[in-house]
Amino acid sequence: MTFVIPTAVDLMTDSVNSHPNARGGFAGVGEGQTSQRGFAKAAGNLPLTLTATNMTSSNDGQLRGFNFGFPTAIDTSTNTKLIVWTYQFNAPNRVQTDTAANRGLVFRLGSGTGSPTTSYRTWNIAGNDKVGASSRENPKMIIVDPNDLTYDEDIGTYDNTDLQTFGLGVNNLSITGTGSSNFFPQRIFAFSTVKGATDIPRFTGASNWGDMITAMGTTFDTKITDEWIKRDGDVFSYAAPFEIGDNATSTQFNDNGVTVFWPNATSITDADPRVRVTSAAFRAYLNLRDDVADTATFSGLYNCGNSTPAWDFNISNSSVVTFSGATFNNVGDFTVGSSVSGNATFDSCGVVYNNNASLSGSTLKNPNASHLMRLAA
Amino acid sequence: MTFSLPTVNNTHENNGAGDPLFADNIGSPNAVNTKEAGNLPITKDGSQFTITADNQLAGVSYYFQATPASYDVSSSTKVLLWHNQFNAPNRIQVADLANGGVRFRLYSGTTLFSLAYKDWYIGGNDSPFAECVKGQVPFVMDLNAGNETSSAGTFDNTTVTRYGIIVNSDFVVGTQGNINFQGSNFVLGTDKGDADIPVFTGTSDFVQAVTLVQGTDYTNKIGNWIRQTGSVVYIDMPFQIGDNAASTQFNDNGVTVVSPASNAAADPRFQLTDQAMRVHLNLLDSAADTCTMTGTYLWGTRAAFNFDQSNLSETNLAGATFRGMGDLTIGSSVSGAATFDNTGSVKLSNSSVNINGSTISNTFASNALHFTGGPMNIANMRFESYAGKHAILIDTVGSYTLTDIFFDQSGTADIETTHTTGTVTINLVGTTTTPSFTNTGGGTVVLNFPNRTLTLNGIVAGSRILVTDTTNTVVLFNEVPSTSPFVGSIASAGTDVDLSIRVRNGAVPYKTFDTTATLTSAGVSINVSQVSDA
Repeated sequence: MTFVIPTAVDLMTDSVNSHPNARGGFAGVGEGQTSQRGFAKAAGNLPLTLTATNMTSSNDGQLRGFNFGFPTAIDTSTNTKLIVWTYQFNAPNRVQTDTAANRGLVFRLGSGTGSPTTSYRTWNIAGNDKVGASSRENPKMIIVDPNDLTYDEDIGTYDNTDLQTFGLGVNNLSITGTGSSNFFPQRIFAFSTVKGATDIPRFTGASNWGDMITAMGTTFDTKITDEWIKRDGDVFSYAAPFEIGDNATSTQFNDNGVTVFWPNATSITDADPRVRVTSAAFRAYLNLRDDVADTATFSGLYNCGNSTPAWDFNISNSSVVTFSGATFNNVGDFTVGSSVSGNATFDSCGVVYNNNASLSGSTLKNPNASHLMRLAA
Repeated sequence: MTFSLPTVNNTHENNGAGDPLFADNIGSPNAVNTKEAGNLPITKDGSQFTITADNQLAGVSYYFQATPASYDVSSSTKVLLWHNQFNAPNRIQVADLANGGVRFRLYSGTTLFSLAYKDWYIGGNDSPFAECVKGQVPFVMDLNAGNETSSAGTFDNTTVTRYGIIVNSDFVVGTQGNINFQGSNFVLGTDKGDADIPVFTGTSDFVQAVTLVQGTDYTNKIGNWIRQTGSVVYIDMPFQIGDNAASTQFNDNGVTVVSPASNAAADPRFQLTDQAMRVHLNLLDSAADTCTMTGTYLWGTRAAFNFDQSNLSETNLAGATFRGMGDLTIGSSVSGAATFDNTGSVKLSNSSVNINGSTISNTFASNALHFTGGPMNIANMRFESYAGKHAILIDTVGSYTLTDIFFDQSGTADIETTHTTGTVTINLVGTTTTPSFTNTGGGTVVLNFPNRTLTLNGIVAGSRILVTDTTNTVVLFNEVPSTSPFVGSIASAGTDVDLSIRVRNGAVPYKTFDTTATLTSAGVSINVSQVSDA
């Protein structure tokens, strides 16, 4: 009964000045580094018992931010990673951010050396006219694929083989309440999107989607997020890739008929442009052992949103994967191997690549590709 | 292009003394005043109370609107949409759920110090209401809700008068002191045509509802009772499509719509009866009024869907999926093949309803489909997974035709008839699965099974065929067919029969061809092989 969330790349519990991976303030045209860098915000992180890096922007009309280094540089040229971050503002009764178009709240990835780097891309993810900052409902998620091309700024020569820094900045606008923006970046993840990787979220053991809720923590002193993993009754929202099995641990996964959906990829023109992803971001894999004791049963409803990620259930060994009336909406290309059997509905998906799976009774409709299914030779 | 909410019940922008609807403190809050920018939109102040001691129970209560002075929800309930938030983002000063960290109170009676009330525990530091500070947290209380944690006196749902919010403090993280801000709230009707039920009119869709609640910027965001993530819309309220006055063209554009469950153990912010989250069609008697539903509707309560509309309006459900709600009543203005999964009974209220092609599975009711509109015909429908129940209920005499209907035969009987006098005639046509029946009313039931087909191929011209039903000893055909193949239609009583088939031609001559076969619902086809006897 396990869902494992990989280790965060940074807990963001230190002040800017004492942060071991500080990589300099924002230094572009019309920019500056955040002020009040010498302290961390007590209980500003998740779980609430942790401090958070505190950053302050108090100059209207100037983007103030700071960059931090990944523990090791990230290469996303072959397979992308997914940056999953949360932030919150102080206090609940003030809004001090400009609009998204005016860079109210931005996320930045930098490549190469330097503190700060001179090559970076910036995504405008929120403002007082967007869900991410129109009121103080903290914490809020940022979901960015480094290969996403809807960025709002491209400075220097962004090199996706050598991503070294991540940063957050606010363009203050005194609107309501005290005239400065205190904002706290919280723990940040960089998930792999590759089958078998150590840093992809994963189910093993006798597991189901409810295990995600346990994994994210259920009390104020254990909860690490309630943004990119959420549950409302039998409906789960999730904003990351996942894998079932690790080809080493006995695994019996059953979705128990729940509904799981992923957010849409967005851009600054959307009401909530915090999800900036390519089709590679929300990939899913089966990685069960060659053992009849390893099973995965799907009877739920899945909707991948408009990013249409490929799902790889291409497993052909002794494991037993059962589709029992499951519905898959908006998956991209969906590859199934001979371990997979049963009936499912594939609606608005890419090509179902059938490598000898028995899918009798299934329905395929509304393809997003030139054909519905391709059979193995 | 409109989604409309009724007038706010109380903006909660004023402090206790400044709000004419303020009733009284509950316990002894240390201060009752206002929080600057503590409301939604965030440009508005919020009413506030403060607790400065650990393990202290305190709150505030307010009357509903002065007019009417009370609500009578004995026949049709109302729901209160409210939201509260705590100060500040980096402190938790609320007890856990088991100890009633956040409690809602509902009073009946007009006496200020009435002891008739119910309390619900709706949050704590171990539930989404207060596990971290997250702005205005929405919650919805049905004025008829059960599952109260405690009560006092005799609650009278014909005179529901006031409501309150109570906090049980527990200083666990951050600066000590609990500050609760109350935001604006709404009281919504839940019945068709109620003046205070949320309504879609004009050229409308769910995104408009999201925009009305979430706003377009910080100046007009009013709450979180409707939220959108990708193509999924959470809607924590009942609604109606059309108001029988304004021209309406509603289209869900294929989104998934989620309605909350009641009294969830881990997050009891929604205390609902099965009336709370009802959905109604109320379109004009005009072909210009339309409703198109292709999305997925996931309901956490058994709220009824009232699509009982039989006028010139047009509602199309083709491709929609309905899961989890209660009974769905469907009139003749509604058409299209939909999927009904784990719902109450689908009730066809008019004999002209055409939802042919639909699939009904895992019914929650005692029957999956009920012809409440009397005798009618259905076609191409599938009934699946109704163990211990029935696929179809017929309670009105007349003639019903079922064409190409699939019963997976998982129930105690596929069709139940409950009429006590007169005759129900059921015509089974095409590939309809032979259903099992139970006649619990005692009236007469006549079953007409589809004819079965015998095909004889390769008959030499001028031959005579003799086909005998050897099960019932009846000659079916004794003739010289004019063409080959010969196709014969044979009346059926729903059971298989054995056939004896003889083909002779003495003129040429040919040897007699004799064979036997079993005639099933799939029919039977015989290749006649006549050998020359010259």
